Amino acid sequence: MGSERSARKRVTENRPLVTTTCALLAALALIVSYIEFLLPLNVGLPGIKLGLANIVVVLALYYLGPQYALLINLIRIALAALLFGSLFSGLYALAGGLVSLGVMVLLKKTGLFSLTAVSMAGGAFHNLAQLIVAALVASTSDVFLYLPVLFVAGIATGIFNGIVCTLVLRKLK
Amino acid sequence: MKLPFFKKADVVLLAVLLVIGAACMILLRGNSRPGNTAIVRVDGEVTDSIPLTQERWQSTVSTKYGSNTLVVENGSIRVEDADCSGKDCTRFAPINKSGQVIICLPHHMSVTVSGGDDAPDAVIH
Repeated sequence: MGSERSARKRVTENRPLVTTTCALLAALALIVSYIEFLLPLNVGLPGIKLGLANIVVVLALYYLGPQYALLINLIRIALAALLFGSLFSGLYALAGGLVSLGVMVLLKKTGLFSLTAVSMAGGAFHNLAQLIVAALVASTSDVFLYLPVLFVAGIATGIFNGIVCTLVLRKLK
Repeated sequence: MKLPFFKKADVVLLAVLLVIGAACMILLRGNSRPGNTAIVRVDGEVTDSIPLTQERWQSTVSTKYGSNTLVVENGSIRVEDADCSGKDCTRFAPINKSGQVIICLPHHMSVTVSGGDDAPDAVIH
């Protein structure tokens, strides 16, 4: 914990460094979003994806702090919608992103869980939030049939992303 | 201190999430019977009812939001094409079991398979 706090302080108290780090991470998040847009997982249910951008968001959450993670994710979502999405896909991504980050910030604050578990819950709640938006937009509750599979997919991809993020953070410190 | 991959309390969180998932699965499980009709809804209103018994059928559903090309084949229905940018609806696997659904969010459209007992509200084409 001590080393984490000092590493974060070292970066966030240096304004030019934190600004460039945020820009770098936002660019990285946008690139992985684009790769996933070009190469979607075709598993028969479009909500299932790796959500690799979440690695960057979780990294920002642990390395910089929640406000920077939010900023980076908002930049990514806005640019992705403008460059290769639509207003619609942007709003949809926003719902998932905000709920997921909110859950992750709360779970991280408890200090009980590993980064991997925080990312896992983030993945699950991202999919849950998007499914609720889907049900509202399409005016049908039928989509909740897919909730269990999307929930489990979110857990699995969240664990994968969390492990990758832990490996990256270990190298950063 | 090295950042741990896992902590003991993670098991509790995983268990809570899996219980939520399992509860949803029990509450929401489909009846997995093959259906014989696909109900198309836009904004929740039924616009088309398509029999799945046809050999091969293709039609484009156009609304004020946009259009989707639906294809019925081997008792299943799928979205062949859509004029939105994401085309997520075309990535749904073909559906044929009662309760299964394909949605197209930009067009506020859903296609739900329903069983033999549900009489269609309207039949077109």
